[in-house]
Amino acid sequence: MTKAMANQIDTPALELRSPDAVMRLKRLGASFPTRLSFLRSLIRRLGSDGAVLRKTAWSIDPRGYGHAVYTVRLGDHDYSLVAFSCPLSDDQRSDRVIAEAWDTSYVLYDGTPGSADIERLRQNAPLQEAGRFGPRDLVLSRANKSVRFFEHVVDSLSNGRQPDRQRLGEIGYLVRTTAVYGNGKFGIADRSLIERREGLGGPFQAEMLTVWLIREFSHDLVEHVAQARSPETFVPLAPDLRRHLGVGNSTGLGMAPFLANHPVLLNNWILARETALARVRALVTLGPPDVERIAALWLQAKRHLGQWTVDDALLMQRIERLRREWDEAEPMISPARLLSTPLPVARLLACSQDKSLDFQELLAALLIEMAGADNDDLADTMAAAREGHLQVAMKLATLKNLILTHYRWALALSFSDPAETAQFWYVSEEKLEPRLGERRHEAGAELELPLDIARQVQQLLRDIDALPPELSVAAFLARYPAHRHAARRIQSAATAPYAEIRDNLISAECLPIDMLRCKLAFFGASKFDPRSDRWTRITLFQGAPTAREIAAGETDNCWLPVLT
Amino acid sequence: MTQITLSFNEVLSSARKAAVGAGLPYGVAEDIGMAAAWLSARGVDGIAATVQALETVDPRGRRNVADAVATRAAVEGVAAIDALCAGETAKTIVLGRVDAPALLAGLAGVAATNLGLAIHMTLPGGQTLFLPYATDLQATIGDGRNIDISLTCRGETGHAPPDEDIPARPHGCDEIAYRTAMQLAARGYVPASESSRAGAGTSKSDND
Repeated sequence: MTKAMANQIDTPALELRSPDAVMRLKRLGASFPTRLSFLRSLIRRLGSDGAVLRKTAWSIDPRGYGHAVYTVRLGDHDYSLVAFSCPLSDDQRSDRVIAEAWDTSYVLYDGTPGSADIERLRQNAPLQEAGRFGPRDLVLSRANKSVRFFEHVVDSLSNGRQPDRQRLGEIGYLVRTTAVYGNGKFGIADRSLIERREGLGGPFQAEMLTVWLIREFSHDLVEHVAQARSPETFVPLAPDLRRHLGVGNSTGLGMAPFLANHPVLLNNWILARETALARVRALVTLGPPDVERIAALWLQAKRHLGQWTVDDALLMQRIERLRREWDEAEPMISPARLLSTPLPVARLLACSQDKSLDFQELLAALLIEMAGADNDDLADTMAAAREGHLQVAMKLATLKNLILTHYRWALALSFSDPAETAQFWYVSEEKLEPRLGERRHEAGAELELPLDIARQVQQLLRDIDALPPELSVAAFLARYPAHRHAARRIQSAATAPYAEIRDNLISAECLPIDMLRCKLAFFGASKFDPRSDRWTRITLFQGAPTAREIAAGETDNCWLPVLT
Repeated sequence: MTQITLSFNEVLSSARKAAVGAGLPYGVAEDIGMAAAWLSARGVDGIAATVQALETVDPRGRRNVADAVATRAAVEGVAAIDALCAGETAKTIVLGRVDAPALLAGLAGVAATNLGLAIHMTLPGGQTLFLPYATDLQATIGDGRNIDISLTCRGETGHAPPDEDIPARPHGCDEIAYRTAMQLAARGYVPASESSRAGAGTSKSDND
């Protein structure tokens, strides 16, 4: 079919993938970063602002201990990373949230800190959760060194050589954050204080800025220690290696309920990504530059998969299958085929349906990447000013219709099967963090968190059915106040179709790692490296442009990290 | 009285957790958290208001001070505001001997804000608060308790209240009230076990 003929085919309406498919846990757990991921938005913003990073304080001793301040202007505001580095014995170095000391600690400060601010933060930042912070402290974080690799890089640079490329590619970072706190935690500024500011309006932009600045600090720190060790023979990190060093992150269960607790926000993230994909799918034809771009991205993904190895046996099996599928599917993107096929992207996506979820989601991310800046406007739609509120005047008949429209998945579950209630979510007394327990073997189920959404919806529907349909939600909740939470969620679904994870979060089958991966992919994480089904390491900003490169205008070409 | 400074998020989450710990349904606790934060932006200690309201709620959410209080803000108050906003009552409702007038104002203020409704709250002596626009509530509501209050819904406001009036920091929080809230919240936590610790993270070395 000629291009002219192809262009005569009616453009299909923007057709989004069904929430019944998109919002399943297994698919969310196969998420990949996209151009709409939050760190990508930040990089573009830094680039468009012409942001220049200034090292406004550097008081670090030859062993790498002391403090430093980095300041960058974004929008109309200066933001400073105040970084502290201190000695830490091996027996204190833990990624667990119960750790009490770290190699490095950080605060993103609103403005440029004076000496009194720095002293205040020196007293508090290393304490993390045990410290106290104020409204000019925007983000609190900490990181441990990747000890052996950090020393390897120091040793290499101080001896006039670059670190081992393969090892650098496998590890990918010098420091690993174990928490990045924002939005009012421990007294720091509320998000409402900065959400209207240019450059920080999108989700987690202050947190991403913090991590990006930590990355710059980690590069400078390793070079500083190496140079101090042997000034005569020291060489700086090669630019391509520097770029490939991101920031590691360890993330556990504490993050998992976030998606369920912010349904409208989750909807906005997914809706933006699905809209981007639908726009690309609707393309009637592709031009030669598009086809070349797809080929280049296909190769990038192939190389990335080749460099992504993990200890976790289940994920490694998935990665190996994905590598095979990626190789086998390469003929699908031959220029002759893509240029001659009408609706080539739609066809490509249709062909992927018999492959693994990992393949389907990687392909979706690739196609969004191919479209480049065409979808960047969607990044501005991903924040949620507020979650949904109760519509008390709504009639029960309407509420029931919402359930039947958006919660069929929940009604299909059988809670008489013990496997469907095998787990329960709770808050641990020890660190006030969410945890997941086994109902049959652990105490505390009577205090479970309301993440049993499907079960709540079934119970609510049963009680609705016993009352007149013309009754209002207000009257219903006066009788059944326990349904207030579920009623609010269901009402939100009317305008937020992707608000709910469409799986039972208390089932024996629920793996928190799937929720973690979804959220982290939206951050822009890659190299997912699960340490269990509820704990993962990742890298952020690996392969992303450095401050110097962004200042020189480089903001793209960082979809998936590849060390060539 | 020692005052501590919290963030709005801390006020919201502390009040919500305290309400859960007190035995209220999670959805009601969510509203109480929002009400506490709303009050804290308008000159009232939202945590103290919450604690005041939770005094009359037993661990199973039932009435335990029935003789002294006719209307519990966190229970009958929530239902009354719902009914008023749904248009299912007379335009004015009278609530007798409200245990926690400040929290009631917060709950009504949040509802008025979310639904775009104009709600007038009238106190003994005729003082009237115009929700959601009222700003400094401390002078009118203060620490009063067990007073009669009337709420009048005057329809839609037609426009949202300006956010610019919200301060960077909430009103100060009484330290004793905060401690009480934390004690209530702790009733909702589960003691850590070896399995919960093991499940929460890696058991592998982090010195790599």
